[in-house]
Amino acid sequence: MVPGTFIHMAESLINIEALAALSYLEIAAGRKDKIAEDIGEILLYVERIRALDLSDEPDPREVQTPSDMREDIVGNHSEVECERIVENFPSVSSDGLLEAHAALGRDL
Amino acid sequence: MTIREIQTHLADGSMTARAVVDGFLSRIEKRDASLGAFLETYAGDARIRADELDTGGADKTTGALFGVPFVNKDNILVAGKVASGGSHILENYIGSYDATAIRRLKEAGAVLLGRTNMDEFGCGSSTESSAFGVTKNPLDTERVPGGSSGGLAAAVASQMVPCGIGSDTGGSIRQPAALCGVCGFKPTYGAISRYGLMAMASSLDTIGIIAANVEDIASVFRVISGADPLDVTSRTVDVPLPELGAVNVEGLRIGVPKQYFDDHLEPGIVDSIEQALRAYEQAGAVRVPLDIPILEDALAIYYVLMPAEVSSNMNRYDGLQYGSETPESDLFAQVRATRGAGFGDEVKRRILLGTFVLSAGYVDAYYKKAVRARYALRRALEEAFKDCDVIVGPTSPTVAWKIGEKFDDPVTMYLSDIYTVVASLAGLPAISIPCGALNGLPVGLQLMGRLGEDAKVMDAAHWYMTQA
Repeated sequence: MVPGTFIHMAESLINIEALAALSYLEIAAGRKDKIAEDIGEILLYVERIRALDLSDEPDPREVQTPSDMREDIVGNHSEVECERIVENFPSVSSDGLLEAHAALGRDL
Repeated sequence: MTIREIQTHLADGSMTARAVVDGFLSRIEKRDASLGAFLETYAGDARIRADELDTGGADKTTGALFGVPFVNKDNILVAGKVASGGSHILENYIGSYDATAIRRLKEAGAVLLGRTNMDEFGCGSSTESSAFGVTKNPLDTERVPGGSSGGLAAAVASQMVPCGIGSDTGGSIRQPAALCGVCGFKPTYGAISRYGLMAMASSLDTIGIIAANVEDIASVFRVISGADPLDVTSRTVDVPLPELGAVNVEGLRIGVPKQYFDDHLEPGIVDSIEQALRAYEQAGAVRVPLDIPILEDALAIYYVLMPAEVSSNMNRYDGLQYGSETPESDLFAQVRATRGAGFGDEVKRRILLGTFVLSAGYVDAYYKKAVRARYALRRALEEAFKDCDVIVGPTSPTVAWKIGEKFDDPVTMYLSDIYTVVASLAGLPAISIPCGALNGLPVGLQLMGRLGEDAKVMDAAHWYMTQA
């Protein structure tokens, strides 16, 4: 077996490290076993929905949602509101640009 | 003091808004050290606002909540104030604007006293998952107040504030209200704008209200409900507002699903629910036994859909868009480290679970199946509501439990939501009101109504609170 911490399911094993990588989430080594065990138990509980016979149900994409959704529209916001948003940003350059770490040159 | 009592005192001049605010702030100072309901109080701002109301020449009848103190759960934005969502990752985040519900309350003359503790991003049922400590139940400080709005429920139950607003995604207003012996209302999905509410599971999130009685809940609902162009999910047609006059329940058809009285229900709670049902029947209401098998699967459906949406909504907390960064040498390592350090275990569990049910190979078996099951549940409830006006049952399968008792057992903790997730999945209005006690701890009665019939739910609950 490939080394690592696994979620035990009825039919398979799920590698918690792979799931954490997909989630962009660092899990402390000391917590992996417990979190994997917890997720295994939750999946065991929700497993029951797989047995539901829903063949008579319409395709959800054709069912109207309870909310009368409108088109998404970009609104006007006050200058103060925009300033507060920028203040929450981790880094702002002297010429007012929002700074982030470089996305290129990363380890893949 | 209730909202009505406050308004009577303000109208007859026996109290000023400042005196009302000082009274509640003084109570917070005395009681909150032992409860931990508040993350922050805004004493200075509240007193300034109260003085403005007292001296500004404002007509005391113009603001529907003139001089009424309130609090907000820590996941609703207030301009210029910290909004952490109960999480370390946002502990320094300052709200850029007022949430629509906050703005409407302020415009109605209500005075904000502070922000209350909660499970991190709403992920929890006991307020033990807050990054800032556990809130205690004011009725027994060795027990949890419920969650995720435990701070808000504890603040109202200990009379530190008459009312407050918070989020209810799967029961986060109703369940803590039940465990603390107060009233908690979740509206029809979209009836109250979510603009300024931190998203947890967007198809389920609502803003709800906790207060000591239904009349106070109705007073707040009248102010904060209604269409909002800033929230795409806000209903374009307003729901009818509650009037709560001389409510008559004669002929009211009360649906009682047999699935609500299952093995999960703590023995003893049934007696309180039965007693409440008999009170309705004696007043002329009609009990309608219901059999809705899919209710047994509601919690499983919820615990597939909710984590899926949580995993998506939590993506924004990466140290770049939102959240305090944990510096690393490259971007993705930094994102992983930031999220690893900033989130607690329960949020991490739900992100991982959500990622799993959405991943290739499992999305059909879990997520897509749950989406279909959710519609089946909605249709089953629509059928049930053809024969009844409200559906009634327990809010929580247990009374408040000891702190730490369920914390390391997520499935047992999740079962606390087993009766509340139904209204959430169907987008229906529901309220929890106190209906007796078990071993000295309050039991909650949940009433659920048809889509848009928020007023009918409140009317039926108000009758029980005032006339049963």
